[in-house]
Amino acid sequence: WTYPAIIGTVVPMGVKMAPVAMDGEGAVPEALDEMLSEWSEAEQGRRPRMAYMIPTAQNPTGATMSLARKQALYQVAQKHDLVIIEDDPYYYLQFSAYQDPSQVADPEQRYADLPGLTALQPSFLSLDTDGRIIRLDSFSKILAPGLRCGWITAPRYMTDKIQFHNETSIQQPGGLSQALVSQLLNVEWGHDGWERHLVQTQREYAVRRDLFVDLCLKKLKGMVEFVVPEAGMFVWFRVLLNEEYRVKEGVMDEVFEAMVAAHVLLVPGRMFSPTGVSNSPYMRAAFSYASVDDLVVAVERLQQALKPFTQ
Amino acid sequence: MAPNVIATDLSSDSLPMPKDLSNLFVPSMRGPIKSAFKSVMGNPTLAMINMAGGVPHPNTFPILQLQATVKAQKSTSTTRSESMLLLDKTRRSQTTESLDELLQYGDGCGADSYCNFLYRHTQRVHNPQYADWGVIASCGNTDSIGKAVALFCQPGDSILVERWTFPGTLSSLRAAGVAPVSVALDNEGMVPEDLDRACREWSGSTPPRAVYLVPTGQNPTGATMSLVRRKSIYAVAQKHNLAIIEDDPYYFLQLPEFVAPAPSTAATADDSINGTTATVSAAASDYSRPQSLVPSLLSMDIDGRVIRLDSFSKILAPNLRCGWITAPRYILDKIQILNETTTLQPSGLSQGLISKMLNEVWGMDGWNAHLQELRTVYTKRRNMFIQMVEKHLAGLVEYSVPMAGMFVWMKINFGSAAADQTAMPRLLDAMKKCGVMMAPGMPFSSNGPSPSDHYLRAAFALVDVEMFEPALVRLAQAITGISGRAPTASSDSVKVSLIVPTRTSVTAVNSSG
Repeated sequence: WTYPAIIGTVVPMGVKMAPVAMDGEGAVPEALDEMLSEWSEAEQGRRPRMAYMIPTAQNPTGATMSLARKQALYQVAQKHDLVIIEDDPYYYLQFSAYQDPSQVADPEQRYADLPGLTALQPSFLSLDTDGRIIRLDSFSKILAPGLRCGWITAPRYMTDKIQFHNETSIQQPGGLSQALVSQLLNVEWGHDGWERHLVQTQREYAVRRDLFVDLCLKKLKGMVEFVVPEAGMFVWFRVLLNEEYRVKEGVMDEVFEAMVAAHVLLVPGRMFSPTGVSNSPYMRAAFSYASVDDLVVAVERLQQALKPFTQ
Repeated sequence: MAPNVIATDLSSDSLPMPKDLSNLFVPSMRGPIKSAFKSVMGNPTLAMINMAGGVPHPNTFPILQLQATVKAQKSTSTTRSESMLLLDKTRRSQTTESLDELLQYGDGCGADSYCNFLYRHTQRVHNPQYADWGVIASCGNTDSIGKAVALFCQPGDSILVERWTFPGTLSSLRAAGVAPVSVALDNEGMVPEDLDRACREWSGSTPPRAVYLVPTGQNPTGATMSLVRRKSIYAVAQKHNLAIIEDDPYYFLQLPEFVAPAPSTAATADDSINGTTATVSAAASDYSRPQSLVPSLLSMDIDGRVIRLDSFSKILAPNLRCGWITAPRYILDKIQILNETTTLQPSGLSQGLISKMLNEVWGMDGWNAHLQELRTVYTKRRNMFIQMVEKHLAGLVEYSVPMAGMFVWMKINFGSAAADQTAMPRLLDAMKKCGVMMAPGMPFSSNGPSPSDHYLRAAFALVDVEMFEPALVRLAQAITGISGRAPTASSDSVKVSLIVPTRTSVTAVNSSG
């Protein structure tokens, strides 16, 4: 499961996608290793040279890789000489672990240990002794999407190539955006102010995550299954379809229509599938945008919509 | 939001629908591909709680206000004053979105207010003659070129281009695996007979489906197509059913006939030339009179085969990274899909500033006054530059007076050294040593490099005008050093032949390298 725009990018290029199995932490190293070890160029074409991953708050599954998981994947990449594209727009939206509200001793302290800049899960880049990581960072979720600003970190001989490509496409981000961001970070905020801003942003997302997850655990019990996200903005629901619907062709379209009729909009899982798998009972919910009140109403509507399919 | 069209123009009811050119698209762009986001979002109503979009809440955007000071445009005043514009975080203005909206993810079309203005501007200037056209925001023409090419060409395909053309385009084509097919140029730009010949004689596995050209102030030759020439090119495109990619960043820098600057204006480092005051010298020609522009290919496009690329780079500022594409709506829908997986749309700050300035601070009149002012600046620069070319390079170069843009394309007269394959490299070296930089012809060649390409492209937009003379003196010295010939006796009067460019054609008809 992956970000639809990467699918939309590679398909017109004639580049084939080789999906790698995932679990609650993201791509499974053994699956990647096996796929590459058993790769047959005669049957499958040139062996893959590149792996594209979203290691933090993965879009759409919300999965976040642990350090151990990243290390294992990095070793597989070394074994098979892969370049890893580390697409990490939610990296700074990490928050502390979820706690059941009834377990929280001191509500005031619930958000005291947000990671800021100093306690984030290490990135692939930080493990990269070979220079095989091309890391993609973006200001979209940590300043604003409309700035159209981000940055790429990679070995210089690679960024040189990217520069050539920029010259034949975008040139560079708009000067006003760059100037504003530069002035803000360099002069107005500095590193301390930047960290404070990130902590505030992390808090905003953590509050939403907690509220939404609380509601889902209470109201959607037995209807859906999901991994509680530790970062980002997505919850990936597996709908626990009852026997009648589990085998029905096109059932997820019906579920989606029922949700639309109930005035709540999620994204059907098939949008995120490189193979276009249509019957998988998954949906992605984003808790970043709806207001707090709307989140409450949304979960009620979801409950209403899913009942007939899950009882 | 669909690519922007305002249904206020009732006359569009009587205009024909564009021809369907989708058979010219590459296979991956054909068919009813709905953009991924559109097909999910459908038409969210206000009652819908939207948990689909993976978008941040504007509460997390830390930019509360954008304030900018811009030049005021008062067409009757000769003193420059300033205007302030403001974008508020949450409040929309009369015409322009709030900062929160501008800073949020867009849909790949651009901000409505930005596109609205450009739609009205395009209607006014070009008055397209088919129905259902629109505009979409771009990040400048380099971005637009890539998208237009991607629509019609896939790796292994070819595209028709001018014999000399913008190196950025050639690089884009290389990166896309698309081969340029050279079409001859003369001093009016692409030669219709040669475009026809190239299409008729085409023998490759996939025929060219598109022609790319820069019809005004062509880069690098500076040529501007006359109305008659444009009509001829359009007719050839119709005959061979080609899409026309009209790359037109210098359209509004069309210039009047060359007039040698009178001594009083030539001698001074007039601020207006360097763009800081609005003072118009009484002794100079009356540049303030509005002049007619040669009509664009878009304006004669009854079929809907022109994809017109406009840019703010030369008419506001390059690093705003803003432009727009005009085309039939069904073509813009495809460009939107390409945008969704690449740039999305230009920076919201750039769009917001431009939109507010054009819609509210300047209005259409102020915008036109600004464009006229730019023409004044470029006219003065061109005239001063050409005067210096005549003074110092007579006999050393052949050139045409550009009627638009910022480039003078010079063929170097090496005399007896012309056959020497090292002449050009030695000239470039000599120029480096004596301190003058111009672009050699080679990177502009769509036909591969050739040692007999004895061309230089000089740009007169950036350098201070006082440096024109020293620059051309140095160039003359460098050329003389290789050719052994001094400039012929120069005269202070302007030769008649310069006003009506009649020089030998810039390129040989495209047969050899």
